[in-house]
Amino acid sequence: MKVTLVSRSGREFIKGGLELNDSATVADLQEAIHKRTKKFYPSRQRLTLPMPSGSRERPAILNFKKSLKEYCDGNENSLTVVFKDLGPQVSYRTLFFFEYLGPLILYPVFYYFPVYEFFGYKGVTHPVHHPVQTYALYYWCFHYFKRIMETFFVHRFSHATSPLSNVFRNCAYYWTFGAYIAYYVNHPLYTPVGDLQMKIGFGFGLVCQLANFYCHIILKNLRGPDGSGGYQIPCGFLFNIVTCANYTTEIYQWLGFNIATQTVAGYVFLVVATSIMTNWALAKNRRLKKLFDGKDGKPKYPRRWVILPPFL
Amino acid sequence: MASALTVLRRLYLSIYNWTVFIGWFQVLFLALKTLKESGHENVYNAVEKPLLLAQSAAVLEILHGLIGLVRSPVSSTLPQIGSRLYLTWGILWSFPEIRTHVLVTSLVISWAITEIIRYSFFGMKEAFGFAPSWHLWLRYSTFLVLYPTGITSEVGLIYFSLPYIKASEKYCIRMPNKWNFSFDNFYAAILTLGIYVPGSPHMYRYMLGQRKRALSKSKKE
Repeated sequence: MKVTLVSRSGREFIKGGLELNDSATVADLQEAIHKRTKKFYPSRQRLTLPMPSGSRERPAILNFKKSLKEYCDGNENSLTVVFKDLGPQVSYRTLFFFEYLGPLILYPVFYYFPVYEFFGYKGVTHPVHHPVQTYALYYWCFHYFKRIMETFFVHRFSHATSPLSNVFRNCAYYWTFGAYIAYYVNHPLYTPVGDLQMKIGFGFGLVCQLANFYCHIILKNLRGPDGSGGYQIPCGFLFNIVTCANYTTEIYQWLGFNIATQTVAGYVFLVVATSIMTNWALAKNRRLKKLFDGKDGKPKYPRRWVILPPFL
Repeated sequence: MASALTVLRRLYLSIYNWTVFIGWFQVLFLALKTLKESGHENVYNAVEKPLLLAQSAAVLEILHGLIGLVRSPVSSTLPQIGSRLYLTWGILWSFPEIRTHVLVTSLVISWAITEIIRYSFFGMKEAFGFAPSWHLWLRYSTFLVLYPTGITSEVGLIYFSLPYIKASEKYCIRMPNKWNFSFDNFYAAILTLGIYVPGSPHMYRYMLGQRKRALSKSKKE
């Protein structure tokens, strides 16, 4: 069949279109485009069906596993597909690895090395640490080590890749906040909180980290290992009460860290991270409710807290 | 019921815009008068009261945007108002040594002309339902000159007050303290100067886009 490729402005993207087998899949089309254009590897291509102009709906994205025939409405010998370049892509695993590597490496630098001399604190060559500062180091490094392990062994991503620009944006966020917090917790003039508060903070944080890990395992099991993505209704454990229990446990885990270490920098990070995750949670909740609307034999998404009971 | 609220909204916004207009008019008038009668060193002292009032009133505009009283997005008004308040209170009011600098005059005049045009434009629209096309043109064209003069004045004043910021330790918070927090005004000021580097072309480009939209829309009508 003949596939006509247009850009979003309507211009023909590949002159003369492409000729494919009648039984070809979308993945075959992606390969053909890549072969023709060299620059646009499959993960960079966003292929959609043309929408009538002025339509406010989001266009349907072609699923790489489906055969092209499924998208032909009527005329089985030709198909028009809209192409958009998503820009250079990196795999999510690469993105996550680098954004988490920063905090993992930068924090210990502030703990072990006499960096405070460069901030004007002369004579601090051998920093003497309060116990809470040492536990904070272990807690922090364990957290980011856990995240990296989950990235490679647990998470199943809904999209394989992310735009390259996100590497710079996300690394700036994690690395800057990592250094900002590390600076204060490991400061030579750091004032520790009481012993009980420290124990409560780290204890609560650890419990939440374990709960968070279990949430990630549950989410992983919702998807098949073939990378097909897709969305299911999460259930079990805290997911019965909260849609995004994984974010909830992550937020509370940081709260535990802050209760134990008590820095304004840490709390600022907590507030910013919470607002970012809340945005994600609202979008996810909306998506799940739309997908599971109770029609056509699909289950209806149950009423649950979105992210932070009893507030949202 | 809805129309009573609309009338109330228009009344409130008319009063707001015309009142702040009068404030900025005073600023411009007093600035020019002082320049003529004495010199640029005395401009700040002459305009201080109306300047502090008129500029601080702009905080209300964030509120207006948040509660939906006006349509402007909070995201574009926030950096603009932020820099204004920083200069007004954080630099000029806090560090008297900088008040006699000549850039204070260029700053105050750039701001005043811009705001006089802007507030009277909105005042006209809220009170009378329209604004003449020359007014629209002024509103979307004077920035072409006043943004560069205003931004240069802002950056210059921050830069020249750096020695005073460093020496006075004003607003600085030092360790140790219970919340393990510190703030160094000097480095914060340098960081602010850094933000102007990408921030200024961004704002200028934004205004150019707004100009294109507003002036082409009026041509169509």
